[in-house]
Amino acid sequence: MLGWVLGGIVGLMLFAWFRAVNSIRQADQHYTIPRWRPAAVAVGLAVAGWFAALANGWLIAEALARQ
Amino acid sequence: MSLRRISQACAGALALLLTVGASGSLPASGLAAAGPVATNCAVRHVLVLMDQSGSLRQTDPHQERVNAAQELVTSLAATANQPGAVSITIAGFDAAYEELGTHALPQGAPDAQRQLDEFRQRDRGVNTDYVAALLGASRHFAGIAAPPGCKTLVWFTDGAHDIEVPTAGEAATYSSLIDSNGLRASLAPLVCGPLPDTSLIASPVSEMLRNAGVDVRLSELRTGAADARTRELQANTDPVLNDLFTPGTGCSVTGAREQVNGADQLGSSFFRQTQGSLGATELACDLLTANGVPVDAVRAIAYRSPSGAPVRVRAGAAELARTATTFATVPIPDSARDGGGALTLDGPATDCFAQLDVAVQLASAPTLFRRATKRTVDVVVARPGHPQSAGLSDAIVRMGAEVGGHATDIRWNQGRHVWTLVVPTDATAAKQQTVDLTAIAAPASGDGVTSIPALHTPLTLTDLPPRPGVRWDGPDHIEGDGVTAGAMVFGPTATVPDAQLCISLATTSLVLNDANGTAVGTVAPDSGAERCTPFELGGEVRVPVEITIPEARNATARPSVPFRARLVAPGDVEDLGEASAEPVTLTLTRPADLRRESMVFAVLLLTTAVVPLLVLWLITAWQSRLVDPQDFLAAELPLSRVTGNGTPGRPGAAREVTFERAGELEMSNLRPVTGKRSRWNLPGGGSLARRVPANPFGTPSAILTYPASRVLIPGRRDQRLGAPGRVAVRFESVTAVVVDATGGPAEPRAIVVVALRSTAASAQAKVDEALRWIRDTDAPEEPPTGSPVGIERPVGPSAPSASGNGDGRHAPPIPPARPARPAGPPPIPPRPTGPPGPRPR
Repeated sequence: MLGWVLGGIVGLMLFAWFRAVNSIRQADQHYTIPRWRPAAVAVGLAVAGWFAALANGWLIAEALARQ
Repeated sequence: MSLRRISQACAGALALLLTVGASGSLPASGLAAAGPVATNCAVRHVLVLMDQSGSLRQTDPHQERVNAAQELVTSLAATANQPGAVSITIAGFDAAYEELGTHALPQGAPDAQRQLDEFRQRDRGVNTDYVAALLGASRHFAGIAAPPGCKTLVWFTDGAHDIEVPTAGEAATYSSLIDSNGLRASLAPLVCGPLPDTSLIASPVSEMLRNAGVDVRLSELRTGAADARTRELQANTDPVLNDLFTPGTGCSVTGAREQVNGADQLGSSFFRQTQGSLGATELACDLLTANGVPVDAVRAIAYRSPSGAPVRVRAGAAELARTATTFATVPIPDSARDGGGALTLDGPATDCFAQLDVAVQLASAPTLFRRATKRTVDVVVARPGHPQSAGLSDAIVRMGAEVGGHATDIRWNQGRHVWTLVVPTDATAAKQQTVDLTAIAAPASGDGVTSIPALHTPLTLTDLPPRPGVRWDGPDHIEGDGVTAGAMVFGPTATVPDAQLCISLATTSLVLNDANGTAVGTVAPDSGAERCTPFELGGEVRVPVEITIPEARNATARPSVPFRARLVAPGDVEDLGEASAEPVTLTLTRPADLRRESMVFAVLLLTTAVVPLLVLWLITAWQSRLVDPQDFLAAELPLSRVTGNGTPGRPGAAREVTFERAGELEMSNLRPVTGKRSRWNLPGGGSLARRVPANPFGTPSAILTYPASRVLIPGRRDQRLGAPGRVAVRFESVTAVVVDATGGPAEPRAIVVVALRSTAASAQAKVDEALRWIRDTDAPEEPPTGSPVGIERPVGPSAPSASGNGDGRHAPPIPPARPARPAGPPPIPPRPTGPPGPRPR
């Protein structure tokens, strides 16, 4: 359950938080986007977390189906 | 030294562990040390002795020692089952030993913690006098009447014995020496003896501590690289501490010394020392989180969770407790112990300890067949009086054994979950009727105070052959219904020359009951004819067994198969009688219901797909709000077209059209922006409206439009926004050029939006920069006429095209303006069709 909630909700909320922070940061004319493209990495991690939530959901379903 | 005497002393674990072999067995000859035993104390006396020397300002600047000591007080208070069950004294030492107060726990815990707070300022001492500290502690405990094991000294220091100022403190009370070097060098004789002539004390300090029955727990903080003087002091101190904490040195006391190399580890060290003094056994936390330990063998469990993350304590499937504190002590109720199963932890626990309640016991009543040449005896380390309950394995305890005064090998038998020892032939050579068995156990980790009652019992020598042992060879986990095949494997537990063990089963089908007595299936052994094997250790008789489970369920069951055994030797047949074999506990599980699993997963999939993404999209919509229009001013400035023949050599230059400012921007032209955070109203009828991306992962943006006009926002296209015509929702200024898209006579104009504090000059500068950018860049590619499209500007707060390149990177500065273009009104270039392409730099 924890993995499912973390991946499904918390991961995306963290992504939203990152986007808000990034938006403020980019309003500074001196800001330079790092080479590793934090925005792209954040999207990748959020999507990966979301898929991890799906995997945890499968485990939950497996456990419940054995009751 | 006899094992009987050793086991009566019962606390030799520290010595044992130092001599433990890799096999998990304890060499009998290593059972040499004795000392205080953790007992059920009416009052447990604890002295917390804190170093207060000046070096603490460097080694522990954040006073972690105080936090750790306060945590120790809390954990001790948690173990006090009645008022006053623990008496804790707080003391400090530097050049002298100083007691601050004594408190009864649990009720006096707040006072004790307040007193410990004083040690946040107590870090100015000139000396670190170990002799004075230990003398003070031994005198403190000498005046307390309590059994051994009920007096604990928790001693914290960060350095080494050091007498920098010999005239300070108590040095003159125990030695007649008056020089620092002499006092430092006399540490060893004063602590361990023999006492020097200059000594003013009657016996060595270690002897005083032993006589007082003190369990000494030293937490020693050693941080960073030591300088030459510190190394010299440590070289003088370490041999003494080593002797003090090494059993059998003549200087040794009971207890443990633990070194930590960071103040942040003191919390863990104090906790471990406290648990050790309470007689708890350290267990690997991985063991508790993975397989667990038999719950019926544990009276209480303690652990730390430094982050305060939740930890759940389970006994089997039942949850006993859920904690969210930095440390916890959880007693195991008898009802949970009676239920059996595994005690497990679920969470990031560290420093796991268990109060074991076990004793070494015979797994069954063995008799030794006199004619056998080799025999085995099964032993368990299990809850006292419950030899059939789950015992502790070699992951938790180590064992040693002797039979008839002869040391013998004892090993953990994983298949049968018992410890098996071999009775040596020498032990039964004489014509005696019995031989004495002694088996002892000690924790596989931890230190010496933990006591596990040993086994001392006579084994009867008999002329009756021993019954065979039996094990299960097959799966112990059955999923679903159907028939599962396995085998009961019977084996002789002794070697009888020229004899055979014969097994027969009369029953063909038995009911298999679960733990509640409900019939869950049948057990069908292949009875057949009698099967025989040589009567010697290692021989076996295999009886195939079919277990039929008619209906899948979640349960545990223990198949019981009656059998008859015989010893058959030339001229001699001995009937060993009937018995029941119960070699395994089967775990039955229901297979996953695919339909149910699919439905649950579908619901979870839908929930995972819809809810989080919907929430994210709502957040995206909220984040798409524009900055507050009340914080901005906007102005409209007329422009004039300047067309030319282009610059020779530049492709497309003939189509160039640029603009020039047709007037000065006055402060009065800058008007407050009206509208809402969803849509701004701009001068001249334009608007800036937010665009909520349909993709919840998208970047929020806004679009600048003017009716029937093209909006040129100088600057590179912001690649992050993915499409032209959009600007970021956060900015400090925007400059745009609005051109009539209908071919009418309307003059172009510039629109500039700046922050509230801006001046007309700065706003005009932004317009000029924008126009310069247009002039110095090839004519923009534009969408079909009539389509209101904003061409994007950089997101940065500065002049729209001067420094931002639209993707947040620094753009190279705009090149200086080119010479004036030839006059003449070239036509506005035709609009290309199709979507706009990238603008060349």
